[in-house]
Amino acid sequence: MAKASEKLAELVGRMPEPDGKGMYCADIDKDKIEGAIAEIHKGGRENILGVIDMLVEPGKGDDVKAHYALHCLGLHVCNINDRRGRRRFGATLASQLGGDRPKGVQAYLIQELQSFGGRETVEKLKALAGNKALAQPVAMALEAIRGGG
Amino acid sequence: MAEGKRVTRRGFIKGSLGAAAAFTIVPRHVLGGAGNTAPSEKFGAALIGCGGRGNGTFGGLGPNVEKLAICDVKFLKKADNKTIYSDFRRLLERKDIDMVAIATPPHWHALISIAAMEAGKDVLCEKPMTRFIAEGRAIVNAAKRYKRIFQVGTYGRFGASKDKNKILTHKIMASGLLKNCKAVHRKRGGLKVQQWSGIVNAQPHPIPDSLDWDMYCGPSPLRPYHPHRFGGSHRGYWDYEGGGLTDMGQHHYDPVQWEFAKDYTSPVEIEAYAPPAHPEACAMWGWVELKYADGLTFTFESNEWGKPYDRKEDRGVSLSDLSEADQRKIKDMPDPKPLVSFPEAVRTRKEPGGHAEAAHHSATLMHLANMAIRTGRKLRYDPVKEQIIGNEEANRLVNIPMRAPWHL
Repeated sequence: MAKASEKLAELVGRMPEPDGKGMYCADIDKDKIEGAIAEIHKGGRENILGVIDMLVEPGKGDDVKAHYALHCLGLHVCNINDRRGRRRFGATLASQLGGDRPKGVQAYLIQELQSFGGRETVEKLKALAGNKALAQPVAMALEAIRGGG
Repeated sequence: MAEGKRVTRRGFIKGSLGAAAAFTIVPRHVLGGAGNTAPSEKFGAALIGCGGRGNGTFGGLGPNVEKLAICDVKFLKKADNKTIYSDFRRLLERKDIDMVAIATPPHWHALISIAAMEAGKDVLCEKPMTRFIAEGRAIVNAAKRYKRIFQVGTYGRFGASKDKNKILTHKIMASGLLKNCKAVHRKRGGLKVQQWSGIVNAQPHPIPDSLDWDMYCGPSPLRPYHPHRFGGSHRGYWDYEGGGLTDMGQHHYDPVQWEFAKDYTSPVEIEAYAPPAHPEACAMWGWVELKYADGLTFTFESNEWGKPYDRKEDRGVSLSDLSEADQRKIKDMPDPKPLVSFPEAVRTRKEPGGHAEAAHHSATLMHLANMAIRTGRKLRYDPVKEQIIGNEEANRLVNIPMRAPWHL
């Protein structure tokens, strides 16, 4: 387990460093990013959860690489047309909602479901519709998933 | 009344309602009369969005305007709701304002344009016209429904429409005689990719007292405040715009779209070369190729990242692409009518040169390009349904859900 976490941390570490302005404008290596993401994808649900564990509430630390890596994973499962992988990605993100993860992290997971989530995530999202901190991103995600957006 | 025509009660009421409806859609400045300005006098105008492009956009309204009010979400503390507003909805209630210039960040363009036209105002809206494709269609529909003048704030097409060579290209393309178009128009550089990128490690900052941050975010997600998300550098975030590509793309391609007579359609295949996109911040990309159904190809080339585009060379269209009989048809075609400026359109109620439908299609070019960059996939687009074919994730970017209570 520890070995897997080290490996995952190394793969996430291959995501680009922000440049001097905090932007992704220097040393952006497409092949390096996509190679690392493909490796992370092979680790399945465990790796998705591992990346989510690296996310932090905005203002509470540095999660730039994990934040980007999670989005790249969503892009990857869609781009390789891996339907099972995509459902697993959505279901894994949805499974982390409603618990004690920071609200800022949950809001980011919901945002990712707005992009990549399928119908398997709808019930979990609906359950959060009354949550004051998350209701707005939940409504937007549901609209996108149901085809309104 | 025409002889032999009887007026029934129902017909009278119907006619009266029609006249009343017609009366309400004719602006007071056209009617003149007591308390109203006549056409030769000034129009009441307002500026919504008083940042870097505010005065420039307002200037496009023309010479005969009086600036009666300004509005910006940064005026929270000094708004008096007489000449200074922080909520555009209050400003649009005023009956003495005939037209508005909108120079907010683009995530507000559609909602404010539609609300302004519904309130009977003509609209000059800064480019890019919209943040996503469905907003453009909604503006087009609103302009028709409320019979208002809408012009986007980019004017290159007015010059293009007076250029002899571009008029010839326009006539060849508009004729429909060229069945297999081999033309390629490449836009190399000048798209400010690095300049209008977003910060990926932004940490929350305190919201300035003078700023209504919730209203600024509006239909976009409510994020923690960071100064880089505001005041010009907003261009680097998908929430508000689409990077340098959307900032500069409509300037470049709006006149090219006119030249190639594509104001009423869009490309059908879009392919990008770019690293995986960041979820919030616009960043680097290499090039995007957009192909129309007839074969015409446009490119966006950043010249700021990756391998250069090397698929096709620039190529125009010429009479020699046609048979001799078809060449004669082109020579016999009248030149297109001169484009109507915004001030002239307001006065005459003619369609302006950069009307909503044309502007929607030139904005769609950038949106499609950014969607290919953001999804990392080759996209197929149906220009009639205005939908991506067979790609659910990309389609979610055609009509991005808005944050309640805002909606199209």
